[in-house]
Amino acid sequence: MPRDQTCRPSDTRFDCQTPWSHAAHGPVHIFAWQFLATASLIFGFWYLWWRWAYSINWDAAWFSLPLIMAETAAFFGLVLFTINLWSPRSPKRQPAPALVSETSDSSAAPDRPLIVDVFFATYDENPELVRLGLRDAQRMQYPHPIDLRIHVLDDGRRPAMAAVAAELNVNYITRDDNVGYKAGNLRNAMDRTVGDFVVIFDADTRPFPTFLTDTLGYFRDPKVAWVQTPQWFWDIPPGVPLHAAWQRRLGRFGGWLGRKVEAVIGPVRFGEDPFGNDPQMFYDFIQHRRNWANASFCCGAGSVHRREALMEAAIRSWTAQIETMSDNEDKRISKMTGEVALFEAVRYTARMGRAREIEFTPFKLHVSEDLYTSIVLHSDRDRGWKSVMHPEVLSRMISPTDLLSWTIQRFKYAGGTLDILRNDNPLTRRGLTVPQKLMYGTTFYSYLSPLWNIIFLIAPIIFLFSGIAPVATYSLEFFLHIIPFLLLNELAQMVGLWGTPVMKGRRWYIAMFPLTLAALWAVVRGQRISFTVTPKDRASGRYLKLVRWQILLLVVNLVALIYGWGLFSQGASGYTLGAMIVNTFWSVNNMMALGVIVRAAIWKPDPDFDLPVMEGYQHESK
Amino acid sequence: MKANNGWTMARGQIAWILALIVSTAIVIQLERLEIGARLGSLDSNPLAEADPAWSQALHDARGQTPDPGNAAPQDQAALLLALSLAALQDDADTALLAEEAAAVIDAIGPLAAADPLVSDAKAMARRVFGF
Repeated sequence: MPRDQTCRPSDTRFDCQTPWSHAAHGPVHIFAWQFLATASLIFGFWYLWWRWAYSINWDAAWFSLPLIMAETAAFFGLVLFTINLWSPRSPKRQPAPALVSETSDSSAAPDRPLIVDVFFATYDENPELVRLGLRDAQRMQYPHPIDLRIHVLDDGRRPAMAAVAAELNVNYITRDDNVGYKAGNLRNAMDRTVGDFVVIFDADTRPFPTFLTDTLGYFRDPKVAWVQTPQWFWDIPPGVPLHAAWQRRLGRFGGWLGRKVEAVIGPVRFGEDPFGNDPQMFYDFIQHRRNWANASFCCGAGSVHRREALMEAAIRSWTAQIETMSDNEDKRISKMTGEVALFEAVRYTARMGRAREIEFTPFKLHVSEDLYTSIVLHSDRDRGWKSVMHPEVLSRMISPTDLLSWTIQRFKYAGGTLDILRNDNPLTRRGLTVPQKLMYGTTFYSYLSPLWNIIFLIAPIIFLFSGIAPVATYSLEFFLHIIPFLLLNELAQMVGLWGTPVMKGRRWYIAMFPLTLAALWAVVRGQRISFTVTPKDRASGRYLKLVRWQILLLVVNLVALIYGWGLFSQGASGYTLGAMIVNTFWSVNNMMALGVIVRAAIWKPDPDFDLPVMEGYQHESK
Repeated sequence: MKANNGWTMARGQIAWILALIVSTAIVIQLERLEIGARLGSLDSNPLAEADPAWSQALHDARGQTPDPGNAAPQDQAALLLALSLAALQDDADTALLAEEAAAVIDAIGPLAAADPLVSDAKAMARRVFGF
C-alpha cells in the first residue's frame, strides 16, 4: 500500500508502512510496572532459593544441577533486564540551536550557523537506492540557517555512484583501500570534512524532513556527544490477513468468518514480520530506557555526533594506546638490558615510533564500531560525555528479508559484541559508571543466553524420554513456588513493555540459539569476526540448512511427546500426570519458539500483500 | 500508540497467562483427586496384613467414624489416636495421614473439643504431626 494512502481499521502498521509511535507510559503505568517487576523478582528469588535448598533431585544430579544453574543464570538476566527497563527518565528535547555557541560551553565557540556533515556510507549497494536517501537528506528542514553538507562515502569506488552524487550535487568521497571497513570509511570522511556535527546514515537510510530539527536540540547540552534515533524498517512484510487467507480456502464464507474473528480478537496476520526484524522493543524500550543511566549506545545509522567528542575521544584513546605499548616496551627492554631506567631520549624515540604505528581513528576499527565507540566515549570521565536515545522514528530503512541476510547480520552483531567482551571488557574498563556497566553488562549477558537456553530446550525432552524429573517432585509445593513467579513475571513484562509484541521477541531470542552459540564459539577460539555488508536485495530460496538444529529439536520434541504420553498411558514409573502436563506445556512452548525460525527459512512473500510493501523502494526509485 | 494496539500486541502474553492458569488448575485438581484416590486405597490397605495391630486399629476407627464431625467424642479420639499411631510406623505416608488428621480436628465441634479425651487425642495428634 502506498505510504500516503489512508489505512483501514483492520490494517496493521506494517500494511500502512507507518512507524511505531513511542510508548510514552505515564507515571501510574510506570509505577504498576515497577511494582509488578519488584514482586516478580522477589517471588523469583524465593522460588530459586527453594529450588536450591529443597528441590534438587540428587538421584539425577547430572540433569537437575545444570537445569537449576540455567534457571539461576536466566534469572540473573531477568534482574539485569528489569534494571534496564526500570525508568523511562530521559533528557528533554530543547529547541534547535541556531549558532555553534549555543551548543558549547566554550567562550571560544563561534557565533555562526551550524555546519552539519551528512555521511551516507556505502560499499556495493545499488546507487539508485542511495539516491533516494540523498534526495530525502536534501529535503531535511531546519528552523535556522544551516550549512548542510551531504557526502557519499563510497568504499566500492564505483563510477555509477559518483555519477549519482554529481547529479544530485552532493560530495563524493572515496579512498584507495578498504581498511577498517565501515569504520575506516567513516574515519576517512572525518579527515576530509570539518562540520560541527556529523550525521551517519547507511546506504538505505531515508531521513524524514524533521531529522535535524528534532535531534540537534539535544546538543544545547554541551556534554551530549551523540544522539541515536530509532531505526525503522518500513519494508517489513505485513503478512496475509486472516479473512483473506480463509477467503482463499473457503470462499466468501471464509472471508466473512475471518472478519468476524478479527473483529473480536484484533487483526491476525499469517507471515507478518517473518524474520522478527521489527526493532521497536530494542529502540523504544531497551535503548530508550537506558537514558536514565546515560548508557544508550550508538547503533550507526540514524545517529548524530558532535565532532569534537569523537575527535577528542579518539585522541585520548590513541595516546592511551601509545602509553600502554610504550610502557610494556620499556619493561621488556629493562628486563633484557638490566637497565632500570632508560634514557629519556631512547624512550621518546620509542614513543614516536609507536605513535606512527598506531592508527588514529575517531571510530574504533571494529566490526561493532558503533558499540565500541560508544564505550570509549562513555568511559571518558574527564569530559563526562552523554548519549541520548531519541524516542521518535526519524528515518526509515530496509531490512534483511531472507534468512541468509538475516543470519549474516545477526552473526555480525553477536560476534562483534562478544568480541568486545573478550578483548576489551567494558565491565573492567575504567571510566564507566556502575549504571553504565550494568547496562553494557545487560547487552553482553544477553549474548551468553544460548548457554542456558539450550538446557531449557533439552530438559523437557530428557524427562519425556526417561521419566527422570529434574526436580525432587512435581508436587503441589513445586507449583506453589513457581506459579506466582511465572505469573508475576509475565504480568510485569506485559505492563512494562505494553505496546510491543513481547512474545515474538522472546521466541526469536530462544530460536536463534545456534547462531549465537556459533558466534560465542568463534570468539572463544579467537576467530576474527569479519565485516560483511548485509545484503539489501532479497535472495530467494529455502534455507533449511541454516535451521537444521532447530528442525532437529522440533522433531525430537514431537517424538518425545508421543513417547512420553505413550509411557504415561501404560502407567510407567515417573510419568505422573502433573509432570506430563508441565513438560508438555514446556515442550510446546519450545516448539513454538523454534517454529518461528523454521517458518522463516521456508517463507515466501505473498504476491498480493507482502510484495507491494517490500518493493516500495523499487517503485519509488522508478 | 492506538488504544487497541496494546491489547493486540499483548495477545500472545494473555494467551500464555491463561494457558498457565488452566494447566496449573488442572494440576492442582489432579493432585486433589490423587489424594482422594490414595485415601480410598488406604481403606483396603495391604499393609493391614503386614502389621495388623495398628493398621487394623485405623481401619476400625475409620469404619466406626464415617462422619467425624457428628461422631461421639470417644470415636473421634480413637480415630485421632489411630491416625497418630499409624503415622509413627516406618513406611507410613505421613503427609496423607496428617491431612486426614487435620481434617478430623477441623470437623470436631466446640462441644466435643471440650471433652478431655478428645482434647488429649488432639494434643497427641498435634505432637505427632507437628501442627
